[in-house]
Amino acid sequence: MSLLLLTSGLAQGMILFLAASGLTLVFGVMGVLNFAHGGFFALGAFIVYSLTGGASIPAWQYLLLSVVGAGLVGVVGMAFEVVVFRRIYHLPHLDALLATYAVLLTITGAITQIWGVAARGQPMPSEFRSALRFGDAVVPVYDIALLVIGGLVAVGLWFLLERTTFGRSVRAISADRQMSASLGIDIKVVFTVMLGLGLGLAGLGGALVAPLVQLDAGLAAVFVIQSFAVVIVGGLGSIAGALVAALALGLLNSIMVSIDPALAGFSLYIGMTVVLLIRPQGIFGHRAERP
Amino acid sequence: MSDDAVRDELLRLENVDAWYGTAQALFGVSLSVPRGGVVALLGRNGAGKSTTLRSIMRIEVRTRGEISYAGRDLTRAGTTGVARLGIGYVPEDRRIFGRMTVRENLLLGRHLARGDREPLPLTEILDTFPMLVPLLDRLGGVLSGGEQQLLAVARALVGRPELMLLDEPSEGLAPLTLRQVRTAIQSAHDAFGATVLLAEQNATFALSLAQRVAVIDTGRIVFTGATEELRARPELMSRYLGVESAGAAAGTGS
Amino acid sequence: MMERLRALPGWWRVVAAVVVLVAVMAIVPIFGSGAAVFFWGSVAVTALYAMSVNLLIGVAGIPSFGQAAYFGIGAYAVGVLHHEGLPILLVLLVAVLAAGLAAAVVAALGLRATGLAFSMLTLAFAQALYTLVFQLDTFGGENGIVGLLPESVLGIDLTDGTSLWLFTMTMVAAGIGGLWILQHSPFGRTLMMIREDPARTRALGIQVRRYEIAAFAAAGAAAGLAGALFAYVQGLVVPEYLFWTRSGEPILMSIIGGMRHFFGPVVGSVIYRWSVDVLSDITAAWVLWVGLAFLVIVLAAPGGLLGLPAQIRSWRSRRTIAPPSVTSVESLGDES
Ligand SMILES: Nc1ncnc2c1ncn2[C@@H]1O[C@H](COP(=O)(O)OP(=O)(O)OP(=O)(O)O)[C@@H](O)[C@H]1O
Ligand SMILES: [Mg+2]
Repeated sequence: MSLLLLTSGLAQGMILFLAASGLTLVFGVMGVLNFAHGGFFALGAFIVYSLTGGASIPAWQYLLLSVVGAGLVGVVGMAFEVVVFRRIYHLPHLDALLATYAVLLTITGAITQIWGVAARGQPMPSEFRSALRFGDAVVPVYDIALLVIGGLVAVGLWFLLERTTFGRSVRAISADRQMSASLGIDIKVVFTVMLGLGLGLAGLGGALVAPLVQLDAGLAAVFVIQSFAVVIVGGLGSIAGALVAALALGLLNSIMVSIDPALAGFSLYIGMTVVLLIRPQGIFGHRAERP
Repeated sequence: MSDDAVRDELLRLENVDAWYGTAQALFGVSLSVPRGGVVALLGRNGAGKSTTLRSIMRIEVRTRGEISYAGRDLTRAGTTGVARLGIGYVPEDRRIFGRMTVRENLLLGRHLARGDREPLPLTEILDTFPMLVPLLDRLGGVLSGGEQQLLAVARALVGRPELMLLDEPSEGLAPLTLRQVRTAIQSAHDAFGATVLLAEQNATFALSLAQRVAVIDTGRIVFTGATEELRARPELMSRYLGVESAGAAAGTGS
Repeated sequence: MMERLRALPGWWRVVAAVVVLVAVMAIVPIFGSGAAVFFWGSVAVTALYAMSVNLLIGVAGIPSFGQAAYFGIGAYAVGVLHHEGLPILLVLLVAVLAAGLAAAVVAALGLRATGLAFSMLTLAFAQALYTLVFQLDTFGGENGIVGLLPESVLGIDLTDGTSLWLFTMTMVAAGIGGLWILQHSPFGRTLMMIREDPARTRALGIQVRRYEIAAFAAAGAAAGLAGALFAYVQGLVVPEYLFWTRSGEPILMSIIGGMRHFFGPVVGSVIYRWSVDVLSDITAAWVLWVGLAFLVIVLAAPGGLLGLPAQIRSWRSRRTIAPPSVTSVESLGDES
């Protein structure tokens, strides 16, 4: 396998991971598979487009604005938690799914309302457009940047969940909501923060994808399904699973495309189907300790 | 004694009805727990002991009637709010976090502590529960039932609760472990000054700890009084608790 | 005696439905423009599609999120076969069988998974098909297949709008009639039992899996018919038909109308398509308003429009009964 194939596959995988990590995080804690996730992903892309004014800006500024945009999306996410999602958690799976689908439609519509129907284009910062040479191989700088950022997010999430008091509360809540409340953990606050974090990550994913795609409201529906595929292959609620699944699916896709360009996009749904048939709880999934 | 108890009442249930969905499980339950006391709530399987504790913790059931703690109405609070008033709850199935270590389980108990109630340092808890020391880095899920029970009591104590609600801590324990649990509850009361409401089927065990007793049957309180008063009424003991002779109930101690 | 009493209102409803159907079939071309005939033709097909989805979600309680697959199979069957010069009825038959068969296979493989996992499996299958037709030139790729203009059926000319409308409505009515018979048969009642309590149904010795597979196949076949008719009405098929949001739409319509009512999806799709038509003239961001309205319905009136009377009644009675609310009989779902 060529180095280019490897890095571009992994970079695609990192985008998938950024899109899916927040989704799996939110599912792990709230137990709701959130269609609206894609809406916040798209929102991240559009917000960064507005922040940069659609201009080509230096790479460091672009990264900074991406983080700012992600933060804004996170804040919008927290507002949504308080106003809408709070009313959804206790619903049966299908109803919850439909309610989040309604939110997805709402956000998609809001994006059209704000940014119009015409597709926008976010120019890639010029530093990212160049490529690094390793012997014979050429690797785009942006692919490397995506790998680094995805890696940082993965490590950061691991640290937050496994090494902090807040993370311990999060794990407790996802294992046993009732007992956590009985111990005095404030479920509502944790939920609001987690949704802010999860949707903020979606926003970051959107911001980093912006230079690679055409920006229109349809982005939301496309990426939420790709995120679904990743979290289902990885195991609902598992961050490590999402990372492994995203990288594997990204790699698989880049290999399949190198064989025949017509195979683009298949790896996700084939992976999803195979995993659901063979191991419905996903690679890293385990059955919940308690509902 | 009884006048003091009324004046210094920590927990009070007055005429409480409770429902699971449409099925009523408690009928006009009234109960009073004096500050600093140990009260046992006795009753056979399905009598409504757990339901009473869940009504206090605002878990699962819907209630009508008065439930107050230190003069505060609990029926308007959520579970988290109730816990943060300083109520440590040990549910009947222990509810240890199986995929977390014993240490993490204990640390989770800290959330209970608020304001002037500083959480207990782990060292202090481990002095009282020395058997947990070698287990600290094990996962909660692999502990034995007895170890889990001790851990659940210890976890509830970490947040320095003023009131402990214990749901059948004796359940499924061998006599030796039972004695450890008993010591733990005793020290929760003596050393840490917690008031205790102990729901039990095991009359022998409960009466050895409690000063006052309430007996519940099919969701109704059928007796309240001092421990000695219940001991003096073998017909109650046998009818509601299946204890055949008063001597058996009085026979244990230390 | 009881049988007859119970049967009577049912028959009245059928008679009423037929009268309404005939009236609509007559009125639309007499008073409507060519564009209106075209519009309502596609609404009718959408209603059949929504009903097929509701057979799964509302009646049997099977959470399918990938019904676009079978709609798309029906549509692409027309796309592929149309230029072969086969009779229309034969093409429709192939479309229905292909969609039903595909659905049966997916259900047979997938129903080992339950709940959310099954929803996701149906979604994955539909998305895989979408990707397939999008990528392959055999299916016209991104641009789809155009020029699907039906010429005649059984010697009747279909080249003008009105005759195509009458043909479409007849086929839609046949599809809906089929679903009605299915839902009111012992088979349909068993499906409702499965929805209410799968474990108990299983304990009665009923092969739940088989019923679910059969329901899935039937819904797939009906969706296939809808897809095929849609291809003829629109005159083209595009990969969009298979995109996952097309699986969401009929669920949305069923919810709006009322999932527990046979004609709920019809009411829902008429309201949905009509309001989208009106809204999209006013604003490009009509999805925003559809989304908000849908959100309110899911959260506040999960029984949909036709479920409103029952919901109001249960509010009333709830208020007069003491604290613990009683689950209303209506919410357990007696059909329409
Ligand atoms: N989650 C529930 N849903 C419905 N009914 C319940 C539920 N939990 C308990 N009940 C019913 O409420 C009544 C009281 O149960 P409860 O658990 O309070 O009894 P208990 O005294 O704790 O018994 P045990 O000693 O067996 O734990 C019983 O009739 C029981 O069947
Ligand atoms: Mg109990």
